[in-house]
Amino acid sequence: MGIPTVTVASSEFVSLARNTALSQGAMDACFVTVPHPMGMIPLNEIRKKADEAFPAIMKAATQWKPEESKAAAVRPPYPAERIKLTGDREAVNDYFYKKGWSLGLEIVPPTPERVAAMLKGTTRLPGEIIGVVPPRDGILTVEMAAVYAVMAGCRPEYMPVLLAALEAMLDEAHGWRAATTTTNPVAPLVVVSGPIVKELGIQNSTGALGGGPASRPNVTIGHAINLIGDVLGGSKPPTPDATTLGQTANIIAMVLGENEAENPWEPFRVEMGFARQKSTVTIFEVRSFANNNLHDVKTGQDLLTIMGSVMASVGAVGETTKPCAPGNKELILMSPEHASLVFSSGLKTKGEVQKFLFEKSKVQRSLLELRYSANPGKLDNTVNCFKGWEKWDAVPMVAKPEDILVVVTGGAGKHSVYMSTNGYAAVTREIKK
Amino acid sequence: MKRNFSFVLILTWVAGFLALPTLSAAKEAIQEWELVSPAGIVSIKPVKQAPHPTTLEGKTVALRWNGKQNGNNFLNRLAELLTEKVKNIKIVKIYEREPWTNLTAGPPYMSAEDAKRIARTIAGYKPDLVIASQAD
Repeated sequence: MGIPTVTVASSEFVSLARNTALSQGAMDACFVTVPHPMGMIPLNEIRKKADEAFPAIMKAATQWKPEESKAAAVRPPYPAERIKLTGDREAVNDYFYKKGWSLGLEIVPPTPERVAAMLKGTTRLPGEIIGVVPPRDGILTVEMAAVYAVMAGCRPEYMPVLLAALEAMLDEAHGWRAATTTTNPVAPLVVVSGPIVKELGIQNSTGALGGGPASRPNVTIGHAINLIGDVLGGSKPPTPDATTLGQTANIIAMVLGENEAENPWEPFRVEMGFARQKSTVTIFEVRSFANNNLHDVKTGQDLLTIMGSVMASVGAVGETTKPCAPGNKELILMSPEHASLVFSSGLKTKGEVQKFLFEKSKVQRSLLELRYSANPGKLDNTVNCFKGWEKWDAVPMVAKPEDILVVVTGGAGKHSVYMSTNGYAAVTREIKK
Repeated sequence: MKRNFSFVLILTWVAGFLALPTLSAAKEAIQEWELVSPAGIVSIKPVKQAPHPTTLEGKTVALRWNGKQNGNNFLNRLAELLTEKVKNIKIVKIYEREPWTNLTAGPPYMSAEDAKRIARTIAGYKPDLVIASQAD
């Protein structure tokens, strides 16, 4: 639009802001840094910070000049560059770690032979560009995905699942850029549904997210996903990944299979609009992991009432109000025993379960007002879908019942988990071999 | 039976102990590695940035707030300082004139379409410069 800008950012977040500007093509944007924090300090302190920053703002406003833009890509993304090293495997790992090419876990050295073997797991051409991985905007080719799959310890037959998951993550609706730069503790979660769960031995029963000897596809695909996000996409803390605390699933992404054999409802992929004989991945970005340890409830309705209350408390009051994010989906990982109780209590379709949870996860508007107590206009001015509600009204935490997705997974035991998401869509892709 | 078990246990332990130097010697040898670099190529389309004015005198400066706490208070003070120190400056507090724009990036606060709409709205005031506060 041709209008110059000066952006004032706190010292803790200026780097993130600079990287975000860079990803949008602003090779050298104009920033003025103010000592962190700016929020949650008294009025006199923030005014003092403005006084102190004023000379720098004036200078930036009238003297700042953009540097000449530099060309970014200097060579094609395929074939990837080859490097030579001398040393043992430990030396390779040290080198990769120091270069920022690993996340602290040991990697398998990606020799050309191993990469070629990995590429045999897919019929796709190695030079095909899958997309651009935010926030660094690294170009992801099929070959590059294979490099990371080798490093993470994947087997070649896992490649179709990995590629489908990456394609889903690269869909704009998934919000990968937001997930990798936010202060929230966000991590990817991949649900695999269909015959491929059994074919590859993707863990979908006891300890589906807990590791163990049967979890090789789960943990290696998860590791590959985060290596790609953090190395090629560059989203490592402290910047541009500005997560306040983070979570370990941002090192090994959560990958699990649907427990179709013990699912009383339609398979998840069918619910997401795919044919029963197909296999799919569905990708979420999740924040909180809230267990529902419910051994003594009498009916499915009792169980869902408690789950709804947990969802409201964790997902809406503790985090962000999501009815205003139209694509957002929340996720329940329901154990087979809980699913069986809910089904036998008369909720014979997922739609009925979703409607029940939608009603029971409503939250009192007064609690949301507390969320914005320092910024009272925000609830109505910026979260417009809360306009018109009264203080004591119970308002929905999502826009519609279908925004609460339920996946039956895990093994014996009476534990189901609510996964609060990052406010974006759950994207599903067919797994093609 | 118990005695046999203990004997086997001791034998296993001794065998394990004797094997230690062998295992240590089996450490992966130093070699020449050819590896495929995971660094990749970055795709950025550089945009040309607008030049800044050399003075703010007589200019219109738009102030944009992203809705985060205290950002408006910072900009309010900045507006006072600019008005006090710069002749004939015109300040447009977008956050007061267009409060719907006081959005933080990402859902539930701001969609990509909202971002474009905000940029168009600010441009509609024809400012010579925009000063934005990220707060946090």
